[in-house]
This record gives sequence, C-alpha cells and structure tokens, in this order.
Amino acid sequence: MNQISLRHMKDNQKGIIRAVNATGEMGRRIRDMGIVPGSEIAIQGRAPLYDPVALRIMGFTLTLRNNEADYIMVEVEPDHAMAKIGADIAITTIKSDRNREERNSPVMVAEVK
Amino acid sequence: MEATIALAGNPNSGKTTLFNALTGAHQHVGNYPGVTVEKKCGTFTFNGKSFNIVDLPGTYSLTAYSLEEVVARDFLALEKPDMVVNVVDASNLQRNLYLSLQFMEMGLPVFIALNMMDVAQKRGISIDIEKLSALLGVPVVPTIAKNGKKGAAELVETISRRLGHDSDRQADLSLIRISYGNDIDDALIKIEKIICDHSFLTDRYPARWTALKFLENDEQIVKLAQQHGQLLERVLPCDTCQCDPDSCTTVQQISERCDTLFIKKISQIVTLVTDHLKQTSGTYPEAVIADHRYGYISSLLKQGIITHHYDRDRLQISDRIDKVLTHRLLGPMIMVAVLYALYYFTFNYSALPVSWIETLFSLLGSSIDASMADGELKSLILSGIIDGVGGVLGFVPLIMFMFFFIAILEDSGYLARVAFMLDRVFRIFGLHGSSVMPFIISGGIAGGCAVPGIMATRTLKSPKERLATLLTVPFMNCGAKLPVFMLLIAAFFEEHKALIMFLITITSWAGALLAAKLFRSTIIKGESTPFVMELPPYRLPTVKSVVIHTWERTWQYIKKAGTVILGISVVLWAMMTFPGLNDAQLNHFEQLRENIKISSAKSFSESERVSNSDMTDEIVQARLNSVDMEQAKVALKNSIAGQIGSSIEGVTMFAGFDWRTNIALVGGFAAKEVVVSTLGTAYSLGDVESEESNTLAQRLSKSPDFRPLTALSLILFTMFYAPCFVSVVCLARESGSWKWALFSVVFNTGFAFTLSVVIYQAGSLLGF
Repeated sequence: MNQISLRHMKDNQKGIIRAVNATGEMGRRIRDMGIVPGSEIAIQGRAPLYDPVALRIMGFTLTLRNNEADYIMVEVEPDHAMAKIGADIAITTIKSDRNREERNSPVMVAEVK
Repeated sequence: MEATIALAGNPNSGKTTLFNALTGAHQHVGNYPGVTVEKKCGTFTFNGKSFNIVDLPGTYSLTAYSLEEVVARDFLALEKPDMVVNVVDASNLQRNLYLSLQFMEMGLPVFIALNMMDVAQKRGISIDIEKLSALLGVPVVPTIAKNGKKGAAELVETISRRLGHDSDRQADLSLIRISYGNDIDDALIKIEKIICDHSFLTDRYPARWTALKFLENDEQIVKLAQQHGQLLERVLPCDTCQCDPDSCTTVQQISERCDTLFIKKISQIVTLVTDHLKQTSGTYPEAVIADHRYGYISSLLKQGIITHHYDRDRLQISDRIDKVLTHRLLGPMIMVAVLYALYYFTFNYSALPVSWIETLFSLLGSSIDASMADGELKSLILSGIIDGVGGVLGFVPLIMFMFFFIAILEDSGYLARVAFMLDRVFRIFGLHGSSVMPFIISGGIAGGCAVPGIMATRTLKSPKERLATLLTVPFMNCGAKLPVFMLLIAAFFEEHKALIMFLITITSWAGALLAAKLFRSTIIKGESTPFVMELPPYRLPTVKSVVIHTWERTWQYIKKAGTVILGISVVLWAMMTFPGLNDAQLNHFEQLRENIKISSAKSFSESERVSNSDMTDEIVQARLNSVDMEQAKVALKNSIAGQIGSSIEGVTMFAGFDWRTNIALVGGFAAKEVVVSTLGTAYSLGDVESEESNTLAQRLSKSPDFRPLTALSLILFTMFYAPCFVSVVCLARESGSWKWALFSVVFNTGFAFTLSVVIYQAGSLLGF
C-alpha cells in the first residue's frame, strides 16, 4: 500500500484519503469540506509558488496550504516511476523528486518501501 | 402573524441570488448585534400574505469555530424560524448535504431548495428528486437561481402551501438519528439522558444534538453547560477565576467549585469514549462523527439518486479556464493586469462623478457665502459642515465604483484565485491571500484611498488576518498623501522625482507588511486560520446581484459614517478657528490696513497721474492681501490647533518639525491633503490650492527651518501617521470596536514619529 502525505502528491495524481490526523479547528474545517477517509481526490494544480495546493474532491475544487496537507495521508495509485519494485525505486523517486519544492525524499522513499 | 423563513446553505450555493430574486428591493442589510457579520432581512408577498425572510451567512457546517456559524446556529435555535429553506447546490450535492444533515439533526423544519439544476444538467448529472426527498424525509424543490424569477416563484408557492397546512409542518420537523458507530452511539445515549434529566437547552436543541456537541468539544455548548450546572447546583462562580479555566490559578478551585456535578458526569463519558477511540483506532470522536455523516450521505446517494451521464473526470470549462488563469507564469501576469485594471477603472471612472459632487458643494458653498453675513456661523456652515459632508459624499462614487468591480471579481470567482496565488507571499507576514485587494485599493499603487480599502477587507473571512489587514492598510499611499509628497519632492528632490516616488511606494509596502507581521506576532497572535477554501466554478455575475451588492455597501457607508464624520469635522473646524484673535490683535491688523489705504490715497492725490492708477491699485491690493495672510497666520497660530502645535514643538523638533509643520499635521487628520493648504497658511501664503503649490515649494526650499532631511522626515511621518478621521471611523465600524480605531491612531503616530526621529537624528549626525 502506497500511503504518502498529500503534500507529496504530484499534479494530476489521484488517490484515496486514508487518514486525517489534524485536530481542533483545522481538523474540523478539513473534514467539513469532505476530506474524510475514503474520499477520492485528484491534485488539480499548485499556486505559482507551489503552495497552496488545489485539489478536486466530490466534484468541486478545494485549496489547502502545504502544512495543512501534511496531516492528510493518501493512498495513491502506484505511478509509472513507482511501479517497478526493487532498489531502483529509491533512485527514481529521488530523481523525480529533485524538481519538487520540498525535498523530503527520504521520507517518501520510506513510505514507498 | 407574518411567517419567518430562514435561507441557509453553503457559500456559493446561490443563496443570495435566490434571496435577491425573492425580495428585490424589499431588503435591508445590518449587522447581527455585537458582531460584524452581515444580517440581511427582507419581505415578500404571495397571494396577499407577506413573509419575512432572513438570509443567513453561508457556512459549510455548524460548529462554533467561525462567527458566521455561531450566528447562523443561534438564529436557528433562538429565533425559531417557521421554515428553514436549505439552498443546496445540485452540482455539488454530497458536500452540501453535509450541512443539511446537521439542520435535520437539530430538528428544524427543513425544506431543501435544490439549486443550480441547470449547472448540474450541463455537467451531466441528473438527480432523482422524489427519491432524494423520500430518503431524506424532507420536501425537495428544484430551482434555478440564475433564472431567479422562475425558481423563486415556484419556491414561494411551495413555501406558502407548506406553511398553510399545519399537519404538513409537523411532518417537516423530521428529526434524523444518524448512527455514529457503537462507541459513539452508546456515549450519545448516556449523555442524552443526563441532558434530559437536567433539562439542559432542551427548549433549544434536541438532546441528541447537544450530546453530539459535547463529543465534538463545542466551546459554546460547553460554556453554556458550565453556567447551567452552576445555576442548577447553586454553585457561585469562584472569585478568582469566574470559573474560566484559562485564567484560573488554583487547580483545586476549578475542580471543587467550578466543575459542577452536571459537567463532571458528561465529561466523564466524553473522556472515556475519547480515550477508547484513541487506543483502539487512533482517532477522535469528532473525526468519527464527520466520517459517519459523509458515510451516511454517500450511502444515501448510492441508492440511485445521482446518475452521471459523462465521464466524471472530464475537464469542465471552469477547470480549463483555471489552467490559464492560475498558470505558473501566465497566472501572475494576468493577475497584475486585472488588479491594475480594477484600480485604473475605480479611480479614473469615478473622477467625473466625484468632480460633480465637488462642484455641487462648491456651488452650495458660494451661494451661502454670498447670502450670509460674515461671522462664525457662516464659517461653521462653510468650513465645518459643508466641507465635512462634502468630504464624506465625495468618497461615495469612489466606494460605489470600487465595490462594483469587486462584486464582479467576487461573484465571478476570480477573487478566490487571487487569494490562492498570493497566499504564499502574504502568509509570511501573517496575512491571507485575500489581503492583497484592500492593500492595492488603499494605495498599494500610489493614489488609492484607505476608506474603500478598509471596507474591502470584508472579503476576508479569517478574523485575525482581517484585523491585521485593517490596521495596516492606512500605511499605503492614498491619493491625499500624494500632494504632500509632490510638494516636498518639488521643493527638495526635483532631480530624482521618479526615484523618490518609487522609494516612497516601496517603503509604504515594507512598513505595512512588517507592521502586520509585528501585530500578528504580538497583539493579534495566534495560529493562522486554515486556508481551507473552495475555488468556486467561474460564473458570469448577474447585473442584479452586482448592483444590489454595490448599493447596499455604499448605503451603509453613507448612513453610518456620515453622522460621526460630520461631528468630527465640526470639532476639527473649531480647533483650527477658536479662540481667534483678541481685540488688540484685531485692532493691530485693522490699523495696518487703514495705514495702507491712507498712504495710498495720499500718494494718489499727490501725484494725480491717472495712467499709473491701475498699478497703484494693484500694489495697494497686494499690500492688503499680505496683511490678510499675516492675520490668518497669526489667527492659526493662536487657535487650539496652533497652540497644540506650538506646545509640542519641543518634542517634535527631534524629528525636525516646527510649529508650522505641527499645525499642518494636526489639520492632516481631517484629510491628508489639508497638510498642504495649512502649511500655506502657516507660511502666510493664504489659501494654497494643492495643485498649485509651486510658490509654497519655493518658500519651503528657501526657509531656514526646512532642509532636505526635514522633508524626508516629513514624508515618512505623513506616510505612516494616524489615518485621516474618515478612515478611523470606517476602521472602528469594520473592526467592530473603537478600541482598534484608537489603537490605530496612537500606534501609527508613535510608529511614524519614532521613524522620523531616527532618520532625522541619524541624518543630522551624518551632516545632512
């Protein structure tokens, strides 16, 4: 199972929400908008400075800041780079991640494994 | 008795359009008592019966986190409307029903207006309305808000039919009981029993709903329960903390006196189930509750209510527009163009109506000037009242134009995109993406106005970010500060005109953003409000809603600000006028005039050269004028404002300001451009038109008291000191408290003065 945090999803990537770890006001606002386990989402795009992120859920578009997206764990379809199993996963992920704003690739690799 | 109907629903569900269609011009906008949330009421008649209708603020849920939600919830619980028309966006059914469920759990007489059926159809969604109604157990009527009339007529008919039959209305009071899983359900039953036994809020809410709120740890309900328990068990709030756990110093007191048996019984159950959920599944009651609500909705919709005719992932038009408008490179470029256009249209197109109003008031002024005898009453009417009222009304076209364009941007959905694109930048300073609009309007591009800028903060929904924006927009360079800058630049920095103007703009932005950061890390401290925001699909705004939007906001400005501003303007007039000159001084100037007249008459009769008489007349007139100006200067120095100016000279000299500058700055509180005309009087140049300040510039550059460094210090001070009083009044209204308005006056002046002193002293040390 490939669970990654919403922050690390790529544009146009799809996934199913598995956990929302936020509490208090933030948790409430996130849940009120339909971000609950089981919901399908797709990343629609990011603001020019890569933050916030816009995502599609239940037929409408929602925006979240990256630090809010951190609380949301998503099960993603294994994408092309991740389909291969083995040591080269780590390399591919780091490479593809190098262009990203946040280089939390070690975290991501751990998730993939 | 007239029946009251509440319109409730999500933001962007077309609620307000429906409200406008129902009520037309029969509506008024006010605020809910004590808060700045807008309350819209209206009436409509159908078949000779009239109905009251209230447009509740749009919300996604009914928690106690946002002011809008509390207002909506309290209205529904306390005012008990005869019917709640829940406007539901058919193209976005799942999320909209989340709120509907909460209404139904509150046991309200709900009635669903399934809005935007046309949009849903276009997206290939068809909805089985009868089935939806049957499964939910509430009536559902399809409407199309865009075609307001048609949807509204149908709705009105159904409303009046429903309200006509009491038997039907009983049926409408459907109370649903959603299952939240064994753990929560068990806890709910236990808490429900305690609530019923102690009859806590049972006249307002169903016990199950209140019980749910305890599990959700709802602040408002918990607080009410504390009070209820104390009342029941005759516990007096303890003296030290008033039973406010946050401020209590002794733990013992809370547990023994404040925490009543009633609260204890409930919190025991809540803690038990919370701990249990955390241990077994690592989640929280509030999360479980939200999950089950959405679960309930999707299981409902799966029973064949929604049919999708197209591929669900098909890019809708709106998404395609977004590919361009929020594009990494194109997006910001288009945004700059749009913001500039908004600014350009607002200030250019309103120039003509503004000049009409100015002409009207100057005509009124001159006719009074001609028909009344000179005296203090005339001066009061001319300088105090007409200038004051004229000043307020002069802003009206500006505000109207600004709100007109903002309403278009807001209704079309573009404003949300601007917030989306700029949030990352503004967040650094503790602000929100939506803060950009007020900043631009206030003079982010030099020449705006803080009054409409302050009012534009209404588009911000997060309270802390909104307050920080409110307090910092007056730092921007409004159109009234420009004549002051122009004057000083003309006098001292003529060669570097463009550079200095550019630096002035940059400085004001830096000052505003840094001040915002300071506020957000001190007095308005706290986590930033989550940026969980909907990007609504692009829509063509309707003329009607834009016009209504514009008008209601403009009218609020005229009505509320007008009265206070008139008063303050009279006070300022009095400060600049009284106590006037004493008899000795008056005699002195009178004597001077007589002398001029006598000497000129003498010289005229002696020479008897007719050809030169014109010139002699001119010289005499010029001499007389200079006496008048000298008199005006002495009178100003003698006035209350002048005395203040002179008395604080000892302090203001640190920033390089003498008494003349001080009076001008006091006058600038009325409106910043007054600084120029007051400086003119103080340098005995008579009335100086702000456009024709060349002579004043020359006078200043030659004055021994003024150096380039003084000018720089004055520019900085003008930029940052107390906002003009029209802004202060608006600030008080928009922040909901005079405390913040006063703070703004004191803080800004202190900040500006400190800055000026530092620059002036440092500059002096360096030998400038």
